[in-house]
Amino acid sequence: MKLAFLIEHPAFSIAFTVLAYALAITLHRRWRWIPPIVAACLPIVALLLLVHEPYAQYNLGGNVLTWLLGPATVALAVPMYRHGVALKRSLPTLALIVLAGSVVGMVTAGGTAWLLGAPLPVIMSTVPKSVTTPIAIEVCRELKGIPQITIALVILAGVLGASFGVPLLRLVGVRDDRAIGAAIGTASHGVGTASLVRHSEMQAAVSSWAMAAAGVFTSLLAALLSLFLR
Amino acid sequence: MDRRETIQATGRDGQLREAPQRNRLGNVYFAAKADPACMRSQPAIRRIYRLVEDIMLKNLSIRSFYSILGLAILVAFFLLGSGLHRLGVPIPGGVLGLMLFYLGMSCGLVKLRWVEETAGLMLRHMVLLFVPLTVGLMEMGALLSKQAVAITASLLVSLVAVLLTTGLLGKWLLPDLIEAGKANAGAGR
Repeated sequence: MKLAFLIEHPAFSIAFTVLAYALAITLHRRWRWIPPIVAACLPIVALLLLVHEPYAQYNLGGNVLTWLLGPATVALAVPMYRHGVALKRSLPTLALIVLAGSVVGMVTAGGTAWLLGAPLPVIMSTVPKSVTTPIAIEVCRELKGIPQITIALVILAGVLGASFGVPLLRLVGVRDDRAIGAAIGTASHGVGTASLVRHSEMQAAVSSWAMAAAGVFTSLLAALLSLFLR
Repeated sequence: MDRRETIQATGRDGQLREAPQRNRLGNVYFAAKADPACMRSQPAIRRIYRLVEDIMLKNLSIRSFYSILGLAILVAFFLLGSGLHRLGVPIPGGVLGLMLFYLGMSCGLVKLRWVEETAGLMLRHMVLLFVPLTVGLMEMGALLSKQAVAITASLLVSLVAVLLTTGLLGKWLLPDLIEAGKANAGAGR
């Protein structure tokens, strides 16, 4: 098997992941209901199972992409800064609201899992589920949770919030563009924000600010929590 | 903080994607050129920034250069954050990097246009970056199915709770600000 060495090379997993992602994006453009993350993962899982390659082997290359999530987190400062300038006057109140939302999110997520008798690592993985993926992963590691569970939850929170968030908010009489943006950004991070872009620029701007702010607040709160647990 | 900042702000607060790239970068450049006084009033460090930028504008394709420079800057801030995290700050390195970077932009040390290109690219294609971790779910099947109820319940409860808290607080607290804003604007005139 001469090909085995090719497949085991870290560069191969990077290239294959990028290809799978490109394919997923194309499919997503054609059929909107396909979530790109699922479509990108399936061919990779299929390949790994097909050639009996362990995940750890694939992840030698995958790690490089995962590492880039760090700089991507830093990049979140760009929408935050850009919209922060435009939103100047409402910023203190928005910050307060997002902070309240983040606290409620962490407490209810962890609390529900705890009440249902989940083990500690699983509880900790549910805590950062409302924030954007790179921050959620780092927070989850900080709290000694299981990153994979967090990722699954973060994606689901994004997709569900993007589809049912705005109708739910309208149901309870929230109509202010900034309030809707703040709620969706705090609860459903980037996926929710992307869904707002089509409706209103104001909503999307507040939402992307709220998403970054929620990430910062959640990691600060998680730092407090981990000090408390120690 | 002065004239040049305002030029930047007006160039930026509208919808950016719509504006052609050349205009956006050209704007700042020509504004400074047409009005050299705004250069002389700058502190030395800013003048050096300006000079470096001018050289890049003349000699390099600015757009591709910025996308490389942007990556270097983002990585540098991430490493800075991770370094601080290693030293014992209990906040994740990426978030520390984000905060430092935000500070850097607010005090004008780092310019938005240096990183805009790369940041936009990374944020738009962030999904690619968490594909490898998600593939790792395939090894978690057993644990996930055992805890499925707890995980799903906590997701749904928390999602609704966050949406309602944030949305309702926003509904109650934000309208006041509109009034205050109008009052302020009136007083200004």
